[in-house]
Formats: sequence, structure tokens, C-alpha cells
Amino acid sequence: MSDVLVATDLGKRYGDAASVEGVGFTIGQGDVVGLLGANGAGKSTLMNMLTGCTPPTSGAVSVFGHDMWAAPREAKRHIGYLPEMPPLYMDMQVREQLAFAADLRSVAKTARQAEIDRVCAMAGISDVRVRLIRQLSKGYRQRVGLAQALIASPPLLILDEPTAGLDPKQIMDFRALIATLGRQHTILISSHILAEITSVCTRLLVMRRGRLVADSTPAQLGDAHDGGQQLALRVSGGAEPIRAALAGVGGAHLLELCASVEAGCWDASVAIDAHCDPRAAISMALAQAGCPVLMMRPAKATLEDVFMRLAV
Amino acid sequence: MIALYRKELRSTFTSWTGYVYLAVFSLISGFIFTTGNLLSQNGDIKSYFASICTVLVFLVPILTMRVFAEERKLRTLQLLFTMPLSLGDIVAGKFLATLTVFCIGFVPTLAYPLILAGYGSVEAAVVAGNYLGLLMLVSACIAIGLFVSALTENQLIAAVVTYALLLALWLLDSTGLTSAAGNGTHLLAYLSLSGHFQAFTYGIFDPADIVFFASLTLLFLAFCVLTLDARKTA
Repeated sequence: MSDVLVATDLGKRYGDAASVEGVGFTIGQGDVVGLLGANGAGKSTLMNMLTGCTPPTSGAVSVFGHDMWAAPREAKRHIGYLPEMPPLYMDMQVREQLAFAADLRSVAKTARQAEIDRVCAMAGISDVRVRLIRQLSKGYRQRVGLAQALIASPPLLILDEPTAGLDPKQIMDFRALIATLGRQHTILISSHILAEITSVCTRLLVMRRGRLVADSTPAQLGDAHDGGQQLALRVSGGAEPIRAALAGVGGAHLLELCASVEAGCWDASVAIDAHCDPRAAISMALAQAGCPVLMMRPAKATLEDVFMRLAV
Repeated sequence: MIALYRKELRSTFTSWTGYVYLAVFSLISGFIFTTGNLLSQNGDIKSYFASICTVLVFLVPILTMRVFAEERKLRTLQLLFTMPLSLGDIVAGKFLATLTVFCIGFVPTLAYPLILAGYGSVEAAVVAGNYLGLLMLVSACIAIGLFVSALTENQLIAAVVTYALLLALWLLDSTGLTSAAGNGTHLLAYLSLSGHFQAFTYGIFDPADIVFFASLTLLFLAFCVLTLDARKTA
């Protein structure tokens, strides 16, 4: 499998602050890769560097073997990019915007109309082709941005938060579209919403504070990190004593504590470190804190929990 | 570059700016020719060009203020930055499109020397010199306007700063400052736009003036590329 995108030790600094630091990964042909991270983790900065919009402070980007800074034209020719805010001219009609993108991508004049029809149909915007972009809703503008990224069928699609502003029906349609596109394109898609990514991606990259903290399949991510094991507890007593007691137990990390349906009780989710069994220590600590354990059972960590631990 | 040139030209005429420029220019140009030549029975075309060049300098910001400021405001520069275009292509496409709009404004004025020729003699070299001079002067003014437009996302600021810069460069040798002795004042006089335009109005093609306007144009277009490059890094 040939390498489509290679990022090597990418870094971006703004003054003394590092927005992205030491990020490196390779994306192969046909991969549909999700880039996950909380808001401010550096996803958009990373995507701007991958697409040649922002030069990195350190490191390199190569697209189909073309260095982004030594041979930008060749590298950019292979990329369709949808930034977080779709770059659209408000005084243009949708078809004019797409014709401009086609012109920039050197689509032959004779093939231009067919290409515009194709991407409009894929993005579901055929009905608004002659509307001014400024008159469109945010969701429609997002789809016009996606159609623009699809013009000339670039082999690598980089989509930054593509479902922002879409309604639930549109999000479902979008997932189906990504599944279709994944057969012909290599895709890197960013989001801070885990469910959106896991449903369409075969591989996940997780960023935290500008660094890449995980790179694996969704299944591996759930299994591998910290064994993926959790305990679900129901404890009687006050929230603060429970928190304090659990904080003192080695190998256990409180993920969530919420009021139980049972009066005077709290339900806690506790993550357990790999090769560690802190159940007895938890029982003892809570008992000593005057918070008896009413229920304790093992639970598999959801991907959401792993994400919370890695990315937040 | 051609794609961007076409888009710029189209968007100038889908917004009000292109029409406002052409209307204002045609109105003033016609007024100057009618009063300065026809009504005063003056067969010298030089007086028309001497007045219209001042008008042109002050019409430039109308067209240049939005060129990059609007792209920055709408964040559409991001589209251009991620397409297979160099920064040079972006600046060249926008510069040529703006220059084309100015040239469209010149087209009706080609009738003026022909009208005057019907009543007397008009020197072809003087007419050619004036048009070449106008083209070079406007190119330099557009380059300055584009550079200022790339510095801000506020069109009004872009227009005001461009006016200020062009006014200063235009009036440099009409101030008493440059007539004073000293090397600094010689440099100021050398930078005067009107001073370098003067020779063209007599049909004299002085290479020094041509080089001056060409250098000024290229210098500010290069500044524009550097400003966009700095925007990418920020």
C-alpha cells in the first residue's frame, strides 16, 4: 500500500506557545482516518499545515511523495480541503463558486458542467445551484464547501469538522457519503465528536494539547488503553467523601460521578490501570470514608471513556 | 492565475465597485474634456491628461480597497492558499484584473484625441506618451493599493491608507520641502509620482521614468506577496 500523506515531526509555535508539537504519522491509500481531539487540541492547525495553508515551524509534509513546501503545486493538486469555516464567496451563486474551484483545479471547460453536476449531486445541493451563497443556511454552506473539496476528484480529502452546522438527518446523509467516498478517496476527517468519527473511520488519531497521543483502530483503542476496563459502583454517602476516598486508591481513576436513581446514593465509573485489581482497596477506602459500597461490577470501557482520558 | 484573473474581473462587475469606478471616471473624464478642450476651444490634449492623471490616482482606492481586505474578512484566502496556486499567481491575477478594469475606463477616452484631430493637429507621440504614462502610473498606484489592502480586513482602512500614501507620493514635489537643499530632499523629489509622470505628457519616453514606475510596481507587488506569506505563517 503506497503512502498518500506522510507527516514528519510537525510542529507549529506561536511565539513561545506550541500549538502542535512533534506530530508524525503516515496515511496509506484508501484509509479513512479520524482525527480526534478536544476543542483547542491543535486539529485545525495540524490540518492547515497538512494542506499547505500554514507553514509548520518544524517538520515536513509529503503528499504522494511531493513535499508540501518544496513542490506545493503538485502536493496541493492531490488534496481536496474543507476547512472548519468553508471558504466561500458570499456574492457568488453556488454554481459560480464551484466553476471557480473547477477553473482553479484546471478542469477542462468542456468537462466543467458535468463535474459541477456530479459534486452537487454527491453533496445534495443540486436544488440550490443558482442560489447566492449568502442566502444559504449554515448547513447548506457546509455542503457547498464539501462539494468544492470534491471538485476534480482529488485522491486525498481533508475535512475539518465537516458536520458542524448540519442537522441530524444531514449528519446521517453525510456519514453515508463518507462511506461512499471512502471507496475512491483517502480521507482524513477531524471532529471532537467521537460517535461521528467511529462510525465512518477505520483508524483514529487522537490529539491532546498539540501532541498525538494515540494512533490505532477504534477497536484497538478501546482494548489497548489501560486494558479498557472499568468498574461501575453504587455508593451511599456524599459526593465529596467518595471523590476523596477514590482519589487515594492506587490504580483507580474516577471518570464520572453522578447522582443515582436510588435516593442518597451516587453512581461512579472508575477506570482501572492495566494488570491491576483495586477492588478490595476501593471497598476499604469507601467504607473507611463512611460510604458503603452497595454495588460493584466490572464494565468495559467505552471508546468515549478512553477518548476522555486521552484527549481531555 | 488566469482562473483568478477571470474571477476577479467577474466579481468586480457583480458588485457595485466596478460600475461606480467606471461611472465616476467617465463622468469626470467627460467633464474635463468638455470644459478644458471643447468649450474653451483648446486643441492641446496635454491639458486633459494633466488633469485626468490626478483624478485616476484618487480613484484607485475604490477598486483596490476590497481586493485582499474582503478575502481576509471572508476567509476565502484559505481557499486560494490550498489550491495549486503560488502567492505570485494570486497577486498577479488580482493586479492584472484591477488594471484591466482601469483600461476599460480608458477605452472611451480614445475618442478624445480623434475628436481634436478633426479640428487641428494632434501629435501621435504625445498621445502615446500620455497613455503609456497613465498605464505606468496607474500600475504603480494599483500595486500600492493592493499592498495596503493585504494588510487589513477593513476596506475603509485600506481605502483611507491608500489615499494617504498616494496623496503623499503625488504631492511630494509640489511641497516646498523638496526645493530645500540636502540629500534627503532629493530622494523625496525622486519618489514623486507627478514628477516622473511629467515627461510622458510631452511625449518623451525617458527610460528613467519607465524604470521608476516599473520598479515601484514590482516592489509593492513583492511587498504584497510577503504580506500574504506572513498571513499564512500567523
